Amino acid sequence: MNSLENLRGIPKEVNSDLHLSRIRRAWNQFYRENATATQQQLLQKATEIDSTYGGQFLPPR
Amino acid sequence: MKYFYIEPEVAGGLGKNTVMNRAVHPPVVSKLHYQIDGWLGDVLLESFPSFIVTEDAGQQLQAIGATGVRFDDVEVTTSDQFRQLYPNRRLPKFIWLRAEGQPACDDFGIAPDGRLVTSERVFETLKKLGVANALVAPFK
Repeated sequence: MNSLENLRGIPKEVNSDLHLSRIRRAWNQFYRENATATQQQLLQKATEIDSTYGGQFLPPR
Repeated sequence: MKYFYIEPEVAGGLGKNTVMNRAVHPPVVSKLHYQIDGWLGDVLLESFPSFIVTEDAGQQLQAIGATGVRFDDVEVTTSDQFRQLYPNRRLPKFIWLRAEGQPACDDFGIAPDGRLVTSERVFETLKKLGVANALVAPFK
């Protein structure tokens, strides 16, 4: 999850406040709903968040 | 009396000085350290399984005699990301909001799925103070 290929930025022109807040909320919901998350579940969630918000990252995915 | 699920703004995460028992779900927190990464301005914030409010909001909730809640000290710090993004932003003082009541009975409670439940009067109080970034739904 912390590999270099996952290092991305958010352009200053997008509303980074709101954008980052939505990502934090998504992780918060995940922690609330998963008492004992496996590594696989964590990676799956990261991929899901990436597919939802990744279009606004640099480089986009 | 109506009741609402409130999913507050998530402004950061639990800091390294948090002490909690992770053997149960939701984890039981005995010391809370909230590290802020970014703040949109709401008076009520969450980082599962804990909630904090501005000191002013806490005082107003106490003034209306809100039930099912007690307040405690919280250590609030800011992350490198916060300091880089908002070098001049000042934060208000926050306090720990410990919801310990029964949902749909007390003014504050925690639903079985871990979401915060508040009475309508508490929600109206918070709404006046600012919870524009919270997700709100009727509690059934």
